[in-house]
Amino acid sequence: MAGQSDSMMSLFSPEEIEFMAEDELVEIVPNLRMDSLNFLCGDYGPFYPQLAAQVPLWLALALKKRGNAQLGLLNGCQLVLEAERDFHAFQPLPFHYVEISRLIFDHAREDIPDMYMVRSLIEDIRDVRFHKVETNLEKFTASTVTAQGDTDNRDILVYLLALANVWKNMSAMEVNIIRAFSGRALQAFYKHDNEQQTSDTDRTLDKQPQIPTDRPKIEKCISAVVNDGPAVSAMLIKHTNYKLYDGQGRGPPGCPTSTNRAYLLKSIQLAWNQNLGPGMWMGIESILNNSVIRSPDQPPPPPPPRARGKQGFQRCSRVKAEDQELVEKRGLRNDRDLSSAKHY
Amino acid sequence: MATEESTSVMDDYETLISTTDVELLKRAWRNEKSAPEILQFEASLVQRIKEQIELAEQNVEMFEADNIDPLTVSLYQMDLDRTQFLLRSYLRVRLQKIEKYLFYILKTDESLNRLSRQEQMFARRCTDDLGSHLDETVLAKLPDNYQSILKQSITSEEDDMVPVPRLDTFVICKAKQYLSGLDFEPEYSMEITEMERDLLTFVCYKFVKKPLENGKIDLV
Repeated sequence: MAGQSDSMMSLFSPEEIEFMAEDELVEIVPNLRMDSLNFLCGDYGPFYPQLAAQVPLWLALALKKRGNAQLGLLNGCQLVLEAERDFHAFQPLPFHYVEISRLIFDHAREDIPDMYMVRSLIEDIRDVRFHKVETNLEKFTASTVTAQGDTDNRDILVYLLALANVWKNMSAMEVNIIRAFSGRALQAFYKHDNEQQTSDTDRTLDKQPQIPTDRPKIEKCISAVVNDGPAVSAMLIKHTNYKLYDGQGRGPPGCPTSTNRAYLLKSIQLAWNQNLGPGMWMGIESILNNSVIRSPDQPPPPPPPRARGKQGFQRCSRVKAEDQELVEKRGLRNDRDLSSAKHY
Repeated sequence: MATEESTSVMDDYETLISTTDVELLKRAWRNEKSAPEILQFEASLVQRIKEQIELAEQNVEMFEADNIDPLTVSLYQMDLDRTQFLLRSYLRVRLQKIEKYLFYILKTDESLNRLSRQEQMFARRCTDDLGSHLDETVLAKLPDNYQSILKQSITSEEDDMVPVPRLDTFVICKAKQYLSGLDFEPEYSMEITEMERDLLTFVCYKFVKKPLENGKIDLV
């Protein structure tokens, strides 16, 4: 796969994130007297017993381990949790709150009042925030800017994702988790979209019919499936699906809605036949179902067949009643034969 | 108005003098890890840090000899370990990038200038070794037209066997101050018009390359 960027180098391991978190300043109450410490990373101290001081977290934990200090800690997790649940955006939390809380729980358990309560609160906060991250990932496209003086209403996508307050207060661990995936997804968007821009200019100049230019898009999706992984391709397909229709929900002339989509689905299925688990396939199906814009006079498509457990994958493409004839006529065995017989 | 400006200047000055070398090294390490291409080597910073580390090592030895409280000694040792880790990791990431884009770096003067002297020596030796290895094992046995390391065949117009760093990878960054469109390259100014301070942003690397070099943006 030439041209794929090696993402291994740019990923921070969790230990490295913890390393960065350990530099945050916390308050301690030492119980010994010590002269000031002139470290490479700063000067701290002198320390007097029972007088609070600010030190980096790693120093605080070291002192705590030796029984020389106690940590004075942050409170108010309860309020933060309620706020997190109520508001759509993220709440301002210390950037490294996950790592800090984990370290403190591991080493300084006794210093926290209501330890179990706080622990469950932090778990809940983590869950709520990550759920927000996931929902936002599903929804995001880039913010769009219409080119000036372009009567075709073509969009030029701006890949700046600093939207509102949603991303403002993400913490380090969450950023790290989605960094690789979203980076590559955006890269795929950008790459495919830039190609599409140049092909669009050709199209408007030559006034070619719309149908042939949809094929390259679909093929791009397929190549995205093969090269960039199913999750990226699912987002790409959703994105491209938006582009297959104009604002009123009408498809390109002469191309019925369902054909493009079905072609896409079949191609993905074929490409990933051995690799997609049933869960992944259902996920892609649901994304595609949610993103189809139908025109008002078209009836909604029948809901996809329900998957049950391990048979879900086969069930999705199970033989329908009208296809029974084909099966009987040509003695077709499985779905692949069937689909090729139907000439999607 | 004048007082506001002067206080902001004072703030900048204060942050400047209170930022330790370790902070700067941490920032350089993070940027280097996140960026897809190799960045400018911070020669003076690395030199200063090396001297400080040597000094700290001598301190620790002295403390041990003087029988100072082992707690203090262990704390100094911990701090020393952390700084050494940062330095090593920084150099290691750069070496990884050099190895990955070896031929490209030696071809482009701009990238070559970003390496330190020792890194340049390393890169040259590495290409020599790699070139002779590939020649002996594979290239000498291929047909005549295909024996170049840099080109697929003699008919290629450019060096297409050389991997080029992808500048359109997306990175996450934070601006340290409000950035208007002027801070970005003019050719991208239609696409990126501003960036607010302290806002996590996913953006194409090549758009932020210039502010990164000026130190106005941090990669996360």
